[in-house]
Amino acid sequence: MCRSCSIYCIVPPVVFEQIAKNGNAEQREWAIETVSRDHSLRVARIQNSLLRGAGPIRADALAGSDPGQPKRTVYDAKNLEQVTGEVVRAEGGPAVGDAAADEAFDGLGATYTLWYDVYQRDSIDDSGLPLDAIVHYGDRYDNAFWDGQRMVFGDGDGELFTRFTIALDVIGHELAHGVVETTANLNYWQQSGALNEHVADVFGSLVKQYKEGQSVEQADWLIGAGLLTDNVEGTGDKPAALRSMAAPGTGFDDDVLGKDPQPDHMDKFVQTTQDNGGVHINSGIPNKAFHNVAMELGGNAWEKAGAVWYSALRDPRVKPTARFLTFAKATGRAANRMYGDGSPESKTVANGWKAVGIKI
Amino acid sequence: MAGNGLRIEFQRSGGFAGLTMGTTIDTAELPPEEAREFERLAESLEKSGAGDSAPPGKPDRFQYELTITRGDQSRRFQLAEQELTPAARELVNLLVERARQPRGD
Repeated sequence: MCRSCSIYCIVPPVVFEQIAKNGNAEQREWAIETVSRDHSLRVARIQNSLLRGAGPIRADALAGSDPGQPKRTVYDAKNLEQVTGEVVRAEGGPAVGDAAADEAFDGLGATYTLWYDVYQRDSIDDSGLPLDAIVHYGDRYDNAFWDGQRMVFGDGDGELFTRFTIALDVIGHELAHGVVETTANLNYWQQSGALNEHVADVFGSLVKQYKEGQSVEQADWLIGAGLLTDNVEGTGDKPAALRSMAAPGTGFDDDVLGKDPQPDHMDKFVQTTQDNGGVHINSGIPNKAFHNVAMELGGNAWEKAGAVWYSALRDPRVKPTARFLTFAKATGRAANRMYGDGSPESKTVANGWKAVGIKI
Repeated sequence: MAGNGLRIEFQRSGGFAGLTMGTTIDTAELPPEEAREFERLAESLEKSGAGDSAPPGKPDRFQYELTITRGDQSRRFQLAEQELTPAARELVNLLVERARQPRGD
């Protein structure tokens, strides 16, 4: 197959459309492999449709008419547990001086930008979904989440947590849950749930790294840095964060909260029924694998490591019940597709998983 | 309650942070007004039929586990934040408030 020109030299787009709709797994695998050799925006959008599975390719994917602009609206819950409220900032509007509203607005924008600029994904659902957020949710509410339609941010209790909009990787993490929901749709339980958390941490961190222009060496690889108050103690002399992708288990070490429980190797996998079977705990294992791969590849983590992970997330063999090994193998196949069998990138991906006890 | 207290063991897990917090209350040790409020909300939860099995998890939402003991009878409830009735939400918020005692006490 011609690698130097667009696949349209050879295969008309309608063929890919038919495969996306009616192809069997093998045909889709071929189509995915073929289109992944072409890095033009137009082709990337067809690839997204193929990887998403059945369903027609959007007409505008072929027309290339997507503006690449986020459509953001921020609402104020006024400290009630409600997901509707007064609009405090909408697309095109100026900063309003409410830190939570402005941080939410900017964070939605930074997240949209990573997905669109780097992965040619048009919003959470790859169909331009408007990005809504509600801030000041609940009374001293210690959480942030994507509820399937919008981002919800609490102000934190002030004792352990400050406002949840303060950390860009938290916003990127939550919106990545939306991306997972519209791709592999990993069940939020046990290993598939820990993978869901892992993917959210990866892209949450990448949103921040891309925004700050950080190389793998410059990135802090922390999740939730700045979110915990000064009351919470970090490990050693480091400020506290919730999780560390570089060194799982070292996010915090505090008298009240205890110690960050994340393992960094399959030998330390934690069996529990709490937290949906430890989804926020065992995610440390794939997090460390991603960090290993990114560090060895060097440069910017969103370029190669992030692209491999995003491709794996859309691999038809990664089902909602996928376990670590299934996903790890999908990253290996993605690296083979993108960089060639036996390429340094493929070896790096395999080594990254091997170091955490997963052999692909 | 014929002099019998109501005991609630409470634990919250999940959320973005994935941290677990909890508390145990015994209404016999609470001021009467507070005790009555817990009684009312616990009864509402018991009658609601909710919480017999763990509901499917949603990303970064809280999960709650409550064990309500009256005399020698205990019943365990597993609840998900996104499926709470208004009364259960009120109960959970009261328990979170109690679990959130200031540091260094």
